[in-house]
Amino acid sequence: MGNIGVLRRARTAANVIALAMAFWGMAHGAEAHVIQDGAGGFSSGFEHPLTGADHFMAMFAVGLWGAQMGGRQVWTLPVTFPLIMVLGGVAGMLGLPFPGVEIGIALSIIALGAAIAFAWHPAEWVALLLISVFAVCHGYAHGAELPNAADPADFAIGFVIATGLIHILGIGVGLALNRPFDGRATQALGALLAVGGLYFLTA
Amino acid sequence: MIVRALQPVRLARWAGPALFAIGLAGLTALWLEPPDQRSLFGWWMLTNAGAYERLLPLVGLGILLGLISLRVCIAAFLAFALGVALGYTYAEAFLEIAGMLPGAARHHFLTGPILSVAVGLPLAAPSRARIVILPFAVAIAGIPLAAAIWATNPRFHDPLTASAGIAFAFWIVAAICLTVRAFRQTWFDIAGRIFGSWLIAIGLLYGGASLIPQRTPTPPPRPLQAPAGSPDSLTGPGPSMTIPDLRPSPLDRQPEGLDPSRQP
Repeated sequence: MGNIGVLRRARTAANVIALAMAFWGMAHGAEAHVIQDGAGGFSSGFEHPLTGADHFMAMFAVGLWGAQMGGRQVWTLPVTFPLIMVLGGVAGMLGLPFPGVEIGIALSIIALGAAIAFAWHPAEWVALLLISVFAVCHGYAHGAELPNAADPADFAIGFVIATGLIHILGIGVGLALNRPFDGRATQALGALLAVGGLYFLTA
Repeated sequence: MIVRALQPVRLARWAGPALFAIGLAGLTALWLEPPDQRSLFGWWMLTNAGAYERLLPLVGLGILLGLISLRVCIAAFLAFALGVALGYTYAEAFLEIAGMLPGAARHHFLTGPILSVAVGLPLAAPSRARIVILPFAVAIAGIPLAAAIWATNPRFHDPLTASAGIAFAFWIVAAICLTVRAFRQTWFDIAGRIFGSWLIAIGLLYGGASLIPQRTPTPPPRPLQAPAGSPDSLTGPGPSMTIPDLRPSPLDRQPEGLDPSRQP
């Protein structure tokens, strides 16, 4: 019975990761063939969260943490993140002052990494509040570049899809690593993320 | 084997993927056409009707209709069709209203953001709220879609081209809806909500970026610097000169041996 559960979970995790990879491939294929954009279009938006290690780690941690907590949090975290990110994005577009946004991004990696490392399972609203604060920081950084993009539509579509795919990747890895070694592999990954966040804070 | 495949239950199960495959084959044929031989209609289908800002909300609408009960699905599909009909009939009025917004004319009259948010809201909403907002949201989604088809029609309101654009939109919605309904899994609800939140975020960010003007103006192109030692006639008019000197310079004069009129 236990083995069936593990197998089912592993299959779900593999499906989720495969889905993320398939989307990834489709997006790149479409970018290469259909989207005729110059600088600041779909490819720029899509690469923005992927090429910035700080953004990537934070988005990945959101998915990983949701999967570690299980239940509704598996999807409420990745659903809330882009919605709140819009607020930060609009603030960035308007050029509102946001001192220490880079520190906020580094702190988000440390906090999320530590939450995963200590397997912290707070009430849902606490988790949502925490990631909302971080989503504003990340949204601000993306939003500041948006109005100057050659094609804001494709830029927005690219970076929201990339952000979502990193969340899905995090969920997939989290679902795969939750069971082996009583979830210690996930906790170790969280600790690594927190150390990475410390690097960004001090660099 | 063929008889088994043609059983009504199996047909219903594979109707979505089959519809998807047929349409995809048509699109691939357009795509594989050499660009210099591609017709205006082909270009429009690939770059306008098939633009990401329209494609993604239509995929979202297909997922949304696939996740709800059949009765609500049919009602929502009809509401969407009604929205498309209204949008096409009153396209000019819609574009006039949308055109009042700053920067809207440069971004397809914000049809993409409105469509994204209108589809994303019911998709991401909890089940009860979804049923309440669904008919209004899908009807609203149809209006900007039809207005965008009307406005970008490369053959100036040719009904055939517009019909193809509308059929393309309905094809995406129907193919995705039928596929989702036939292969329904419990995790589709979660995936749908996540996709809905992406659509809302895309719509709001794109809408925001369109309405908010660029903060840093595009720098003017750098003036071309004349190479060192070039004749004065190549440097352009001086500040006191109102009319540029267009007389042929000594460098423009062709060597006598190369004068075409003197060639045999």
